Order: sequence, then structure tokens, then C-alpha cells
Amino acid sequence: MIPKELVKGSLKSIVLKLLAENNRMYGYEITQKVDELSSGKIKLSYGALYPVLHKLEKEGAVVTEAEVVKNRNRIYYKLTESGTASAKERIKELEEFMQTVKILLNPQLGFEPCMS
Amino acid sequence: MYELNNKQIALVTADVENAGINFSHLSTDLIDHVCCDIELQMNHGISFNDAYSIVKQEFGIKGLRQIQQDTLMLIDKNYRIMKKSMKTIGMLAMALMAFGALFKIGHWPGASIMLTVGFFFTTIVFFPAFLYIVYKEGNNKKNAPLFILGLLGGVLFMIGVLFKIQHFPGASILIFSGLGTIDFLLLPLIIILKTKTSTINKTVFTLGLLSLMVFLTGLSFKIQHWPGASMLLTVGSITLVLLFVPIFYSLEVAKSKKLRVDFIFGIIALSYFIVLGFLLSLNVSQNVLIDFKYQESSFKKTAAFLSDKNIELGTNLTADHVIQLSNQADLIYDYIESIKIMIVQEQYNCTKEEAVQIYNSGKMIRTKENFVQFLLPENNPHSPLPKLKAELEVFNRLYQNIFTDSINQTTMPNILFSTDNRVVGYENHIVSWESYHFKDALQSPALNTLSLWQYNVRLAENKALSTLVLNPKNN
Repeated sequence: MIPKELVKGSLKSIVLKLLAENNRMYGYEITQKVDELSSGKIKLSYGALYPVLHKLEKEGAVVTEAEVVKNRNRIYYKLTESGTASAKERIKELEEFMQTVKILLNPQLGFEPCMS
Repeated sequence: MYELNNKQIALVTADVENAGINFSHLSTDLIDHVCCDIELQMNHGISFNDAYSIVKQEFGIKGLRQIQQDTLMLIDKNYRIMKKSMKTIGMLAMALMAFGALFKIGHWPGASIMLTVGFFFTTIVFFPAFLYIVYKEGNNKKNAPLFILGLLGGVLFMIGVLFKIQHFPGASILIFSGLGTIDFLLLPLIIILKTKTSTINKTVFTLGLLSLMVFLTGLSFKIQHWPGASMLLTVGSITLVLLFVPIFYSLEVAKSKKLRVDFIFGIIALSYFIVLGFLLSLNVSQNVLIDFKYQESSFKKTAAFLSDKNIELGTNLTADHVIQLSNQADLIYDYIESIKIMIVQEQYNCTKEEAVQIYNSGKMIRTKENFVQFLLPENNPHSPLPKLKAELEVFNRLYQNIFTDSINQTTMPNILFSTDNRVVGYENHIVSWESYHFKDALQSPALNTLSLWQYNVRLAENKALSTLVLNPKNN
């Protein structure tokens, strides 16, 4: 399982990416999807997910719609136009970040370390 | 796929709402999420109760609250700033106040400034930030007037307490208006707004707040010295302790198995309040001050008696220095009398004639609040004390002229009218004659001191005159 601290910084990008690929999603669905795609390596807790979703709503990146499913209200989250734009940007950022981290972790591409 | 029925959903809803989740649609999010989790567990073939306790272990009721606080932290910049500043400044202010109190007890320098700064931060920063956070977590716009009134009343009251400690003028008015705001605006508004929505039994809730209102009214009456204060305080505290607390306990607290921390805090705070209330209604302080009155009247009577004797003795003495001494004694006596009238005038804010009447009738109210700071030259450019000091020194010189032997020349004035600086306290501070007698002095002891001096002047005059009558050689 991947430690929470590592997930924390990229959580917003992951959520935006998932919402970009699916028309609309509810909170539980997002956690399940992340669990499934990462084959259980990333587990999103309630505590991590909902603050981010509400922040995105406040920023205007997503809108919510309530619907009665299985006798209870369910809140669906959906990207707005500006949300779709920022999703693309965040995903690009995240990819760039991963590339950089890769380079950092394998610095000897093309070079041999100087050993005396 | 298993599906929860309405009853089970209602159970989850109640738990989430009990955790105090009310920000935007967060509770709907969480209820759905918890239900989904339970359904997932139940698909493995276990009962609802087992599934729910497994899910509960994952987040816990406190965990739900934490989610709400994290959400607020992320979204609301003001909330974030307030929460952080509240913690640091709160701790700092408490530390300052604790040290200030310690220094005050030890009479070490710097106590006042520490208390003032501590109080200032508590009142201006910590208290508003605290209310803002509670308001935001409650997330109910309807409550805004309650919080504004609470803020206003609380700030006025706390500044009043600070003024009181520092003996600044206007403390009583501040405390009174602060208490009044809480008492006559905030509490009725809580009764009106909250009884509809409160989960607590309405009658009990109203009873508690009403008795609190009576108690606070008593407290404000006490501060203003209006009649009936003691009765209100006693009635208010007895209803609170003997009616509200037991009923509240049996109805609300006994229901839930766990003893909640806020209930314990509530009881402790309440008992402090009640003890304070009873102490105030017992009137101990005032009785002590009444004793000064008795002493003062006996000074006045002996001074009058000596004055008659002196007139008798003086009829046969015609030398200049004797007449000078007698005139000086009369002058000082009258001047001190006028200072006493000034003190009475200051308290009752009345004309000179009314003050004379009040003072002579002996019907003055002596309280622990009437300080005579205005007499000190550093507070008042028209202070009467420098003149009094000068006149006393003149009297001392005249007195010394009458006697030829040095013992008689010095003992009496040194004992009775020394206007030198005095040494006070463990640290041997040197203070002026004025400060020694009148700084931080209450009205009653100050009047007492002045009456003692009037008596002393007459006594010294009497000694001088009788010495001259008995030893005509000196004359």
C-alpha cells in the first residue's frame, strides 16, 4: 500500500482525472474506482476525499446534483467547463512531476557515477 | 447486492447528525458513503449491526467531525487563520494572565502590564476567533445574531473586568452593559430561537435559561447597588442548582451511557458561578466597611469635645504665636472637612450642599468600589493634598515655636503630622506622603484618615494650650 503522504499531493489531480473520464461520480464510487485501478495500493479515506471534493466545488471546478438512490440522497459530482480545463492542466503537471521523480530516482541515465 | 432499509438508513443518519456534521451537503455525502460501506460488508454475509460496527471502527464518530474540520480548513481561509491564531494567542494570553496574577500577588513589578496585555489578547483576539470558529462549525446563518450579541456582551464584560482590576474609571458601566447585553438580549433571543430546534426538552431548557437570567440580573443589580440584588442572586442560583441541574441530569445525561466531558465542565463552571453569587449576596465586604463609620463618628465627637476645651483654654492666652496656632488649627480642620465633602461629591455626583447633607446624615453607601484616586496630585491638577501638606507643615512650625524643650518640640508633630516620604512593603519602596495615605485607598478608610487628622490637630492644639496655661512662664 502506498503511504498517505505520497498520495496527498496528487489527490486532487487523481480526482479530477477520474471525473474527466466518467460523466459523473459519487464519493463512494470514486474511492472504489481508485481502489480498483490501483489494485488496492491506494486507499482513499473519507477524511482525505471529501475535503478535496468540497474544495473543488467551492472553486467552481465541479458541480453537484442530488438524486435519490436506494432510498437515500446521493450527491453526484460532475466537472464544469473550467473544471475540465484545470483537470487537463493538473494531469499534465502530475505527469511532469512523475517524470522528474523518475529521473531523480535513476540519476545515472547515460552517466556512470564517479567512483574512486 | 444488499440494500439497506429505511430504518437502517435512519440510524446512520442520526449518528452522522449527532456528530455535528452540518457543513453544506457533507452530511448527505457521508451518510451515503457509510451506507455503501455497510452494504459492501453485508454482501459478505454478516448482519447489519456487525457490518455497521466494522465500518464505525474505520472512521469513528470523532473522525466524522475531523472530516468537517479538515474541509473547513481547506476551503475557508478565515477559518484557517482564526483556528491557528486562536491556539497560539490563546495559550500566550493564558500564560500572561497567570504570570500577571502571580506577580500581582507577589507585588513584583510588571504585573499590571502583563494582565492588561493578557486580557487584551483574550478579549480582542482569542474570544472573537473562538466564536467565529464555533459559528463556522455550526454553519447556521440563523445563529449569526446570537454570536454577534455574545461577542458584544462578552467583550464589554471582559474589558470591564480588566478595568476593574486596574482601577480604571468606568469599570462598573462596562461590566453592567456587558452583563445586560448577555442577560436581556442574548438569553431571551436564545430562548426564542433555540427552543424550536433544540433536542433538549423545551421546558427544561427554558427553565435553565430563565434562572440564569435571574442570576445575571442579580449580579448586575449588585454591581449597581440596586436593592433586591441578594434576593435575585439567591433565587437564581437555587433554581439553577436545585431544579435545573437535577432535571436536566435525569432527562438528558442519564439517557446516554457515556458521561460527556462538556457536562462535567458545565457543572464545574456552574458551581464556580454559584459560589461567587452566594459570596456576593452575603454582603461580607460591605459590613467590614461599615465599621469605619463607627470609628469616624467617634473621631468627630472627640474632636468636637477638644475644640470646646480649646476655646475655653484660649480665652486667657493672647500672645501672637498662640493665636496663630489656634487659627492654623481651625484652618486645617475646615480644609480637611472640605476634602471630605469632595469625596462625597465625587461618589454621588451632587452639589456641595447636598454632599454636606449626605455626609452629616451618615447615610453614605460605603462600598469596595469607591476609590479616592482623584485626590492624588498625579491624577488631578487641582488636588487639595499639596495645600493640606503645606498647611500641616506650617502648623508643625508654629507648634515647635511654643515649646522650648526639644522632646516636646518634636514628638507630637512627628507622631501626628509627619509629611515625610514613607517606606512601605517588603521591598522598602519609598512613597510620597500623599500616595501612602490615598493611593489605592477606598473611600471609607480615606474619610477615616481625614477625620483622624482633624482630631489630631485639635489634640495638638489642646496640648499646646494646656501647657501654656499650666506653665505661664513660657507664655
